[in-house]
Amino acid sequence: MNVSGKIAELDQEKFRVFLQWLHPDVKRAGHIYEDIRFKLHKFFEWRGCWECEECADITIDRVLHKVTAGEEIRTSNHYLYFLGVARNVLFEYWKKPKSTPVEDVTESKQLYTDPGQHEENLFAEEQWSKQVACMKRCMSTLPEDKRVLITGYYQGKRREKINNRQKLAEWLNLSENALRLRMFRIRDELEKCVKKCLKT
Amino acid sequence: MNRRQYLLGLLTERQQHKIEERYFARDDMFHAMLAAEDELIEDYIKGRLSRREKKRFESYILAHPQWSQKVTTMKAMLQVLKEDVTAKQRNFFSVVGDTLRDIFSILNRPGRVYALSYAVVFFFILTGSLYLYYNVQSMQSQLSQLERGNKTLRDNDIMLRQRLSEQASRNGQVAEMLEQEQQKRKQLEEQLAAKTPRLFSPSFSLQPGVLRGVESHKRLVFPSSAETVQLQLLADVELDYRFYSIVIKTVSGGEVWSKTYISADEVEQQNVVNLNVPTALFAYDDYLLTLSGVTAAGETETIHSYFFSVIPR
Repeated sequence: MNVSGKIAELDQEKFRVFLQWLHPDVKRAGHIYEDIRFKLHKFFEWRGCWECEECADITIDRVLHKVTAGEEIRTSNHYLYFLGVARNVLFEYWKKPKSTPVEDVTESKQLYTDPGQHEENLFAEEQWSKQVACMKRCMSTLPEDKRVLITGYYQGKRREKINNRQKLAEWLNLSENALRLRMFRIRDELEKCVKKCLKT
Repeated sequence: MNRRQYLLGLLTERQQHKIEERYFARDDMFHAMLAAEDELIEDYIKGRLSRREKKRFESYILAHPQWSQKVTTMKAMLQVLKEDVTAKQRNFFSVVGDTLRDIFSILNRPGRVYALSYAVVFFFILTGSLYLYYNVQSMQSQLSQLERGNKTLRDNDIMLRQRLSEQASRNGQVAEMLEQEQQKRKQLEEQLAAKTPRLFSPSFSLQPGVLRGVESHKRLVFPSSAETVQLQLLADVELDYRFYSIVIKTVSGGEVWSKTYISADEVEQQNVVNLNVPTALFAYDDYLLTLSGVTAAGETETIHSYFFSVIPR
């Protein structure tokens, strides 16, 4: 189980109790924990929170403390309980004065005002080339099956593309949603790889 | 579409809560949200968003550093994939070109025997490929022609069936009308028969035989008021001729009356021929009636002769 940094630093015993609360089976509890963490991250991102990781950690931390403190938590669904806590965290985030300078936000917005000029404004020609080069490198490190999958997934235009995706899902014996999730993960993997590549 | 509006922050708080509860509780809904995010970015990059969506995307989403990173990654990825596909296509043509160049370079080598063999092999491969290509094309064309022909036949068949059904319906109407007409005619004939006074028509049976004074000799005595006399010709042979003819002559040889092509249908029984003869033909005299038959081969045979005397009153 890949447990994120902050939680790993927590008291192991408390964390064990927390997992036990999530599910009696440790392996299954680990999956649920990762799942909740990912959903929280996306929730904060989709609701315009710039500090998604931190907010997700705060949410988990709050639930964990309630559980380990022996507070009675009445819920039929753990996921919905986390959502309730996450909403409070988000509300507090909005109320909190932002550390990001206003100039930065304005600049960031201005950079994307025209998608046609996106390349020129956001990155210099050189930076864009570097981005593409990194993407090429990252894609070449992908296993063959993932590369074929991503090529097939984005192949074609409109109707053709929809048909391609249906065929891919049939071929892999997956539902269309499962195929989308797989693509999301590959893209996420690429994104991390490109970020790493750009830093070097 | 609600998912996209959610991502663009265009829903009310209540609507947002509803979507969030769904994607937190159900994995398939969460996956659908991820897909919607993916498609939104792709549509933005490819300029497929509406004006409102584009504006909102730029002000609400691109302000977010993580989203901007996503957009850049996606854009770079799409470009690399596009280049990759183009490179593969280019690579295919360059492989074909290289192969052809190799063949020609082999042909230019000093070893003429090898060159000639390669040339022959190449020629056969090329010819074979062309032959196959044209055959496939021709078969496809024939197939489409057959399909067209088949369709025309099917259409004709449907049309003929329609016409037949119309004709059958019309025939039914005609048959009905005919039946009505026949019934009317029968009724009229019955009415006419009821109104018309019955005419007296004496009837006589004639035995075959030509000699006067023998038992077969018949005396026909009928009143002058009788318009016709009914003669019943008895035969002692089976009457199975196609047609019959009758000639009545006086004993001195003068022909009084004749009737030819009496059809077999008019012969009521197999050994009886009935005929009506006008009484006006007869005077006080002796007569000879000859009954002949026409065989299937067309030959005329005399069947019987009947002798009788007429005594009008």
